[in-house]
Amino acid sequence: MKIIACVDENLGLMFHHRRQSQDRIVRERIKTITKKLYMNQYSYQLYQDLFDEAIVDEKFMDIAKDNDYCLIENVSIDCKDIDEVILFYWNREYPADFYLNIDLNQFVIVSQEEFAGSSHDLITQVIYRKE
Amino acid sequence: MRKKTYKKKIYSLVVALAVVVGGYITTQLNQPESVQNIEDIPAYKNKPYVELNDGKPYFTEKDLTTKSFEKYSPLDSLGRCGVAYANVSKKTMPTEKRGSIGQVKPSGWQTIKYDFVDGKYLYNRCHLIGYQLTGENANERNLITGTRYMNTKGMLYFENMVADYVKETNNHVLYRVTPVYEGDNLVADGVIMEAMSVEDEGLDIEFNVFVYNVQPGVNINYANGKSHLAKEK
Repeated sequence: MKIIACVDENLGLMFHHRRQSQDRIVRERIKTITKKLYMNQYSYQLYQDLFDEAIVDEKFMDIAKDNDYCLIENVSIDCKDIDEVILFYWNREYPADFYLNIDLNQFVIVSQEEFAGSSHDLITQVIYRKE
Repeated sequence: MRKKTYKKKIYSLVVALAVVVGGYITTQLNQPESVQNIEDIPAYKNKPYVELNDGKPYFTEKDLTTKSFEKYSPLDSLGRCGVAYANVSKKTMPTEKRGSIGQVKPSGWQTIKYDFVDGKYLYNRCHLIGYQLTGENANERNLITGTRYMNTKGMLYFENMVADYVKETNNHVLYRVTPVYEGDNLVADGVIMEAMSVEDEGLDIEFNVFVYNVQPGVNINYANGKSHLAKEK
């Protein structure tokens, strides 16, 4: 399974049940990675315009297969079969009370790219793969 | 690190709201249940901010407007700031880089350095409403004496979240910052920060937090801003 998430400097995802931030350019980039993105209803509210082939299910990680991409926002990762993690770093610090629960030390960085978002000056896309 | 409850301060806060914000008196005092919900702000516990009222701000439905504005309370008789309130939008955001603010001396201001503090200086001139939101530079009604920790590990996080949301969506965000002073202290114990996105009625942005005006490793005399090293960092 492959994970996609947007995080701040501290791997924060959410504060007070709301995503920390959003950026249209990031969503467009994710679409170039996959059109078939697994997500829950909360994420679909924001992503539906671009992802009409999204698989929307509250237990999407249970139904995603090995090479499928899962969008992580307000859910904990309870699966150990993750071989790739794609993170979009906001390069900003936001308040957080919910964090990405994955040990990145188990992965190696295979690519890193910086770009400007629609509302963020500098976003860094990092792809991690399991060693 | 200091440990105390904030019951008395809440009384001061309510009075301050009534005295200082004039037009908002009715709004605040018509919500006694909201005030009761913050009857006891917890003591600082190694986290720069804590949620109040389950994270729900004290705005009412009639506060939700798409008209941009910003209002800053006049300084009180002790030279202290009061409530700062804005409806943040792209219209209120600055188009120029921030200028110098060193000429402003907020109440309780002291210039003091500690080696272990990020940037060395214990105190910053903290914008109640961050420059990136309303472009207020050296407005004395919008600057308080705040620790580096409160400024950069607390208030800035929330400002960033609101600023980036407004830039991304072109929506409005109601944003209110209330400094909380105990008695006649010149330095605030912290600030209450409330925000709510207008067009979606808080779906994307909603928070109500108290940000502590503390600096780990330093004991602060809030009456006058003087400080000394804490025994334990």
